[in-house]
Amino acid sequence: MDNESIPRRGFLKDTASLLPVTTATATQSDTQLPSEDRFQPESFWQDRMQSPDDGKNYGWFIDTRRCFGCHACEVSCKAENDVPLGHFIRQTFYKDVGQYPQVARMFLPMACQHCEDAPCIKACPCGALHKESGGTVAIDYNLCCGHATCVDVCPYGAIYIDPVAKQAVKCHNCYHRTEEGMEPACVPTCPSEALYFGDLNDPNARINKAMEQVQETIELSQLRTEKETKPKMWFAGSAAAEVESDIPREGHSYSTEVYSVHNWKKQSSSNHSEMSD
Amino acid sequence: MNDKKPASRRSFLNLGLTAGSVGCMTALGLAGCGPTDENSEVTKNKGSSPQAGPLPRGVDLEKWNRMKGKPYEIGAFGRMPGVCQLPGPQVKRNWPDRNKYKNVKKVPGVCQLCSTVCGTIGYVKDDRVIKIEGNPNDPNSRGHLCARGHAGLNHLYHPERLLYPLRRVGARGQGKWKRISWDEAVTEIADRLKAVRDSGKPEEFAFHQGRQRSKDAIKRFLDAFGTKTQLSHRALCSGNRRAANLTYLWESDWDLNDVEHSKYILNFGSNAFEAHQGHVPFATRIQSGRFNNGAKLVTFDVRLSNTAGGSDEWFAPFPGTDGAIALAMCHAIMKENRFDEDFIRRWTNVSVDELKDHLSEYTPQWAEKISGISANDIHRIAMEFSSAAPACTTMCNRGSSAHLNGFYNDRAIQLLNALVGSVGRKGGWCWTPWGGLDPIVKTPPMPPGAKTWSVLEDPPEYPLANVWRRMRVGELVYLYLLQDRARLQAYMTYNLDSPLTWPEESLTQQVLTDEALIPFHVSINCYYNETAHYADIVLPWATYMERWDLDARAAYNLRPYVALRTPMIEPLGESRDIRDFFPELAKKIGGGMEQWYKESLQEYMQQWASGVPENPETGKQGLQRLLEEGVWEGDREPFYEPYNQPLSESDLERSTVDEPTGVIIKDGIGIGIMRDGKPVRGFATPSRKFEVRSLFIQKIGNNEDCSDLIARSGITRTKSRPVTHQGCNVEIDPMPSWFQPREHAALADDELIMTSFKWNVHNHGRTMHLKWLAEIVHTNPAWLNPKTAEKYELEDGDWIELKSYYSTELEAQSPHLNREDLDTAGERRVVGTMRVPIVTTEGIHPRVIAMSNSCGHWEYTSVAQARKQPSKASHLVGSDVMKYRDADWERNMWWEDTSDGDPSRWKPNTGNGWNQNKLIPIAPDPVSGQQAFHDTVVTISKVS
Amino acid sequence: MGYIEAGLVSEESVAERKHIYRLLARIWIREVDRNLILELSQTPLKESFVAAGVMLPVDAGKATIEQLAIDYCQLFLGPKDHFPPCQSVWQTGQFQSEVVTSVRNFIEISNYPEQHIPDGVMLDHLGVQLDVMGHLLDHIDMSPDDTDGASQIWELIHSFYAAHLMWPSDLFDAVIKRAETDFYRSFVVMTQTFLNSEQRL
Repeated sequence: MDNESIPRRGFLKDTASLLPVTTATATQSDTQLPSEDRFQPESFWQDRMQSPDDGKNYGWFIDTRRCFGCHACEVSCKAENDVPLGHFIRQTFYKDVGQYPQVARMFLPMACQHCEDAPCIKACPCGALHKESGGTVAIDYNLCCGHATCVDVCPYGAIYIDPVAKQAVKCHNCYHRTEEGMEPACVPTCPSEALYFGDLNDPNARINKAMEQVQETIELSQLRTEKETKPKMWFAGSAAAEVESDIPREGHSYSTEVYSVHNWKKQSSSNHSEMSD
Repeated sequence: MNDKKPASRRSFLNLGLTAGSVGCMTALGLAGCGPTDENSEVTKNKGSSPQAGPLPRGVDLEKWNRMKGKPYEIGAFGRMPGVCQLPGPQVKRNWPDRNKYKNVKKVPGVCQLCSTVCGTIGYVKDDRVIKIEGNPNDPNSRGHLCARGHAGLNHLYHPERLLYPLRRVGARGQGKWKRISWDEAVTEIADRLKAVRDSGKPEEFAFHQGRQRSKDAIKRFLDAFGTKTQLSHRALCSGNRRAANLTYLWESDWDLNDVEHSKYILNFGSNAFEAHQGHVPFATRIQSGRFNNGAKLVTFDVRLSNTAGGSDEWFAPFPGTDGAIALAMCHAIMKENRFDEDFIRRWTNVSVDELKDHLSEYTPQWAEKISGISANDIHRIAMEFSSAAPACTTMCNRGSSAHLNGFYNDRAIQLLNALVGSVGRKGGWCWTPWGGLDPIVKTPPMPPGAKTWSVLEDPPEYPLANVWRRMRVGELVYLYLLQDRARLQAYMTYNLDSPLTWPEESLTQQVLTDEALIPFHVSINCYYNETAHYADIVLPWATYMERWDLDARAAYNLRPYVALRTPMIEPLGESRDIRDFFPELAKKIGGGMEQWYKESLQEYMQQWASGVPENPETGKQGLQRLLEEGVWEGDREPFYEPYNQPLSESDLERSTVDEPTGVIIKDGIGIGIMRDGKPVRGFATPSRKFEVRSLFIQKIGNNEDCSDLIARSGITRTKSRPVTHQGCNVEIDPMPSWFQPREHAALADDELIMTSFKWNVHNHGRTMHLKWLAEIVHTNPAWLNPKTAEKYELEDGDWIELKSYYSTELEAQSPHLNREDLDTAGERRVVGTMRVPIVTTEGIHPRVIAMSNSCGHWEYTSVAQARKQPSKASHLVGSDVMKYRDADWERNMWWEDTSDGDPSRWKPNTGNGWNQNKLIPIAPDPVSGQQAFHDTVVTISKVS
Repeated sequence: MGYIEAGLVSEESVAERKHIYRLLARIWIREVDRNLILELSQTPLKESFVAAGVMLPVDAGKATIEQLAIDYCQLFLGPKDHFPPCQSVWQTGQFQSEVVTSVRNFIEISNYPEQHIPDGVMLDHLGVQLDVMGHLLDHIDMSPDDTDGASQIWELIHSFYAAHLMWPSDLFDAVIKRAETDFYRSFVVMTQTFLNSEQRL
């Protein structure tokens, strides 16, 4: 059955078209590139921007149409990485769209986009942020001193500062698992089969098969491409556009506000001061 | 406080000198520290006995020098040799740890944090579980695990776990305890239970379970003891859906919707994306059906659940009108000739004309008036549904069944599948005749079933509660005790949190407190909770990661499978599973009970699993195979169209055909039916057809003998109602029909209907202590439509007072529920009042107010209560600070409510919420007894 | 730096220290019962206890034992608002963290007789840690001649103390405030004072 023929899907599509993903709800400051004055000289980070030459290129594909917001990926991540309460490497955003009785709920699992042109690597003053195999953006904790410059320049709010260690923490594609032949902790658990991770250079990888199949009928999107960081996460479905305005921006991290049922209906806001403390 | 001067170091050395010199070596060191009970017979099956021998000599300096070369910093606490970094908030080095999954043992298990039982793998390192993941070998869950499953680590290692048997000191419910040994506990319980047995009234020992997955162990113990008073929560859960399925099918109480192969999924009120009994396996297949097979998902629900919110279409009907909508769809399908004439003729026990006639009054316009769903939409959905036949199915669960008319709702919904012929078809509405693992494995010999009767377990007022299967009417237990309709001498609760999860919290607490009504109460649980609080002895139960079971759930592949739950680690502290201590208890009670406990647990599990065949690749079979693979799935064909299966020559030996009906009878029992001149299996009902018209439920309702019908069905465990039911007759409509509870039909303008729901990160009463889940959902403001809020001049975050009322329908239909101790003088009877904040949402019917369950604990762990300090009610308040018991909790828990109940100081999304069961009355559906959780009429007023 | 080199430890005190650790271990690991109270109340042990600041129970009668049992339970066993005396709980917020693996490593290195640990007691229980310390000191006490070995054992002892006997200060503070019997309060004060005095060495 063709989903496009279903009235409610049409209604959602209309709403989505008001919020094109790539340009977002543009305000003056949002359309600017990550503040380049925070970047270190290229010579300082150019080596760390290179991943090991092993032919791998990791990427993410999120089929938001399948996601039903179960939080399994988040809790698996929390367990895998001992993430303290109140802090998140990944988080699932909820948003109720429409008016009674025509309402739908959007779900968007979010985490680091592992940008090819990662601003966090460029900005890191201690040289801790670097690329691991496949372009995984990771942190060397023998070097990280917790300047939080990476938080200031991440256009996706995907980095937090550990409250005790005073060091930056972010998704590392679970490289300690992938090196052992396992998938990142969030992926295999997903009951909706909405999360795909893998080597984009491997035509047989699950992620490539899934993306190809979906692309037969719909276009994929990316978030905040105007930031020109070349994110490596692709989305299917309208949730990315619907939720975009709720995703934290430069200088912010994922916040507990996401879990408040009072906020699911919250209208778009470019001011994220309440998203962080 | 100690106001003496600190002792000098010299005084310590003197103490040491004295201790060493007086020769009181028994007081020194752990070697002198045997069990407190000299006569203890109870020793856990672990470790070696603490025999003090000569001290082993010598330090392994070689090892020390090797290991100390690789120390890891652990904050300010120094160095630990050869140990990876501490988890949690410490300075990070080498993180993530590349060695985390090196030298890890993978131990299979089965989750039990909800009822779905997904296969898991515990990653075990140094005897510690470091991660729990789904088991890809599990054919049902396919390696997926929901958020709850991952929080199993919190469950296993929570610092407030019960680790020792405790005996109450002081008054019941006062909260004072002391430790006792297992031997003392077992002896005392055995003495009490023996006295019950000796009294000649074994039914006065009641075993009251919450979620349980050790069915065999409990049945064995209770049957060996001789009591049938096993109380369950089934009526709080699924009685109506099961009774409706059984009416149609007899051989199964559980419809398995083959959604993965469907083209159209019509959902009446089920929230499978968050909480269904088939949660993860079912939800995965729904999405697979939609996105790999092009299915459409349409949901009717009064509230925008995640399932509704993620459906292709959502409709919000007036509460409890699902059955009316379904009947109207049936009407439309018949009227537009979109039915499967062949299926109706061959496989139902009614004719097309009879159906048309029966459905004629249930028009979409009629349903529109009742439900608020437009007749056009009802008609359109009915047409879409029938167009997809036979790859279409309904699905429903508590959303449609937890109502006073829930039995009829589900009867009506399920009828849709028969009309379009999707019953038993690929992509349609299916079932299996077996329960989970039964066809694969058989338990070792069990005692004969107990023959006692108790009104608690078999209330005569509910005709369908126990005829096919024992579903019981759990919500009545405490009321019937209060009414003195049954007496208890001993009461054992197991994984139960009844004050939180049972309707009418105050009644539950009143009865649990009353030692005249419950003279002796043993609570078996992993944690102290609202039930354990009223126990006399609390036994620390091993978690599902520390015990043995074979387990399986309704199999969505429609073929049987079996999964092994096995200890990933040894039980912490002195916690033990019932499989471990029931044998001891039985032996101490004696009187023949001991004969059922001859084999060891290991032998029992081996025998039980022996039906699992050999894996040709590994050569392993039975328990050995399961220990390696965790799960085994049978290789038979999926259970499609079983009614068309031909009977074999040997089946037909000695059989006769009943000419007018075509029913094939062998040894007095129905085995099949002649269709088009061929002997086939048919349905396992008296007519051997899908019973749209059920003579059986009509006769059972009237206490008539049904043995001839039962014999023809072949389901001979079905029983006519016992003599104890005589006089309790209920008129049950043999056809799918529908009525509306009178308080709903006459809902006044100022009244709302309160509905209940579950979150995707919680179960009903056993997950709020898991901090990773509590962080996501910890509170439950009442959901209200903005239009409704406006009417009461309410804004998001405002507080209301809710007042709830008893059902007028039940006051008329079920007078046995009335209580003399309640004031009924003229006024409408009030269940309770409660103050809660509201959240406004477009995702709810304007006449509905929704509150989730799972919240509002007051005796469960500090995590479940969202507090860092002792509770206000505790005698400990103000005495100290619990600092650093869990640094993460102490430092980072962000949702503590510090408002002291003052709405003006309350911050949204803080606190641990409110127990909705303060407001919900005991309200069993008069047919099956399922609790109507979604029907409570309430009024609200603004708290200013 | 070793203790002996620092000149802080006299070998004469090793035996006493060993006995104190093992005495404390015995009382921490399992609540006191009638026999133990009677034993502790004997002269001259009783006087030594008093000098060390411990207020022994006035008698070993049923009422006293019951009161002590209730206090022990609400302090350490629960069922709620209690303080499990396990290092993992206080450092990582859960039972059975990597701390346990560390203790096990020390137990293996020091050849501590693990079978002495009663069933159901976790390895990072303060009572076990105190007993392991007593055992480590016993090695010194019994082999004072082997100076090279002794200095390595001292290093081991130092590491063990730092890793596993410096954590309980929060536990002690909490228990001292919460204790309802003089015995457990004063006993915990004594444990705390003693361990602090060990820290200065």
